[in-house]
Amino acid sequence: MSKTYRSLLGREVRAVEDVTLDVAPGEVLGIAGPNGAGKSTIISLLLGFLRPTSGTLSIDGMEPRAFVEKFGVAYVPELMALPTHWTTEGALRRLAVLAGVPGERLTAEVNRVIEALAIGEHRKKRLKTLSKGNFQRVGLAQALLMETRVVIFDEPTHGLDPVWTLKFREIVASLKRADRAIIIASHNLDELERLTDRVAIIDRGRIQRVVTMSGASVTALMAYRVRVVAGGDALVARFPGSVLGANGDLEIPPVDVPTLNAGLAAAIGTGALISAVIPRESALEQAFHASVGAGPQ
Amino acid sequence: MNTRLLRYARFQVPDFLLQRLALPLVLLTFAAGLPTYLMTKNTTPGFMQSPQGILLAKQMFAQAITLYLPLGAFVGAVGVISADRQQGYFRFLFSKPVNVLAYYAQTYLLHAMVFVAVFGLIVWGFSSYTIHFSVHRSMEAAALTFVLIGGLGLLLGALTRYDGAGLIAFYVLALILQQLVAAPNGLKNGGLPGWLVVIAKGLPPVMKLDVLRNHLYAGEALDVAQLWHVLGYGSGAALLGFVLLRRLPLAR
Repeated sequence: MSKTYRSLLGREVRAVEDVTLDVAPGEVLGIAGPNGAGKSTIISLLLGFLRPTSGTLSIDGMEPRAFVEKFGVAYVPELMALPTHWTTEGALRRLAVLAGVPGERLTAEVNRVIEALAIGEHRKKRLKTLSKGNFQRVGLAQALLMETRVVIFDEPTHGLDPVWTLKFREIVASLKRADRAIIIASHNLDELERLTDRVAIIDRGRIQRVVTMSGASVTALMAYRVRVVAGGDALVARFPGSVLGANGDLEIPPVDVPTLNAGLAAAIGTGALISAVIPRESALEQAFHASVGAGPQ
Repeated sequence: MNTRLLRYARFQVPDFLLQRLALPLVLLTFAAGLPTYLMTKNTTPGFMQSPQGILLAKQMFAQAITLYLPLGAFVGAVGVISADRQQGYFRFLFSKPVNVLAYYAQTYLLHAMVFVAVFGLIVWGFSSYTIHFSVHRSMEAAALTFVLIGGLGLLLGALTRYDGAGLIAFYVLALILQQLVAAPNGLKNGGLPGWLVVIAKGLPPVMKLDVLRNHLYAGEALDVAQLWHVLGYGSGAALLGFVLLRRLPLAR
């Protein structure tokens, strides 16, 4: 599918171009890309808020808007936009009614999500008085009000503190289900690496590559940092081009996994002591840099 | 409309009353309610039935209508669709299993019903303090007003973020041009050039709405052609608004 915006003066901006992507039930798909890459446009297309200029888009065989209007989608948008004179509880009650939560379960369901996101102390507060992080938690809470087969998060940890960023991972893990597809658009490559099964890297409206998060490739060349306690010289001898820093960290140039293990084993055999081996870049970061051609945005 | 939307009406009705209709009601209280109360309190019993009292009551009623009907219909008609779209509320509302057209149809219907019912209450209250005014005819006049202004507001809201300014512009322009066309200066179409007459006739029939409302208050028979023109224009605009809502993307 493609999506082109046209201004009144006829100027065209291609937001999404020839994107082909499928997400299976049970899968968590990440969408990574720099600002303006087209992530949010893809999500708006998925929710039927926009229509593709060319190509097709379907959810379970249905046109997106028809699917959303029939079943609903758990969705956290990038920008939290709710009338700010609503209270936290009031907003959740309204959205729970629209989500189809039955009247007799309404209070219990609202209480459940308030408890899950620990926003109980803010339940009577107006949204305009909430911090960005707490407002974002209200956004997450409303997405959990209904059981859906599709979950879409657009920059879900934007504004969350580190504690809630970690808790968000638990929430996503708890949402995983065999019949549910989860899509997460994020700048945060570490977050995507931990949460998703695949990540589509998008830049300038095109999918540059799709990376499968199935563990490290044995043959991929990666640079490592090795924290050396003793025997640094033995390690330097095993890894040509490596540099031992004053702090005892050894920087190893890109090697494959068998070479890394053989070198480390040999050095350890001669008395080297190692406390940590850290990849300089994850496979996703490498793929992202190769695709986008710049550092993380 | 499904049950979840009907249940959502319990939020929409107070929203409309407290956040939108409150302003016209406060203005009405000061402009017509308070003077009426003082007038009835400070005059002798039976004054309201005297020719002078009847004249005063009718003037006050006309003032109330002039203030409440256009302003109430305006606040019920604009900033509904456009605000949801501009502020991004639609992302929350319409990721839920909600039909966009049904949601806005219900919103406008509720606004119309509350607007008309409140006007009925105002007229009933006014009548009990002054002289008899027909509540049901007044409510019919309010309904006619909302059909025209609400329909136009819905169309503009579906089309643009400037629905408020657009509605005022259309209303005022229509009023001026149609008054000029109807000017009793002995000239055909008030002496306006043909192209301006075409524009005046294509704009919302606000003069006809005024005429219809005056007939209703006076208990006179309505001109069916005028009635159909007003109803058709408002309903047509609303229908076109719904078509645009379906065809144009929510995110722009």
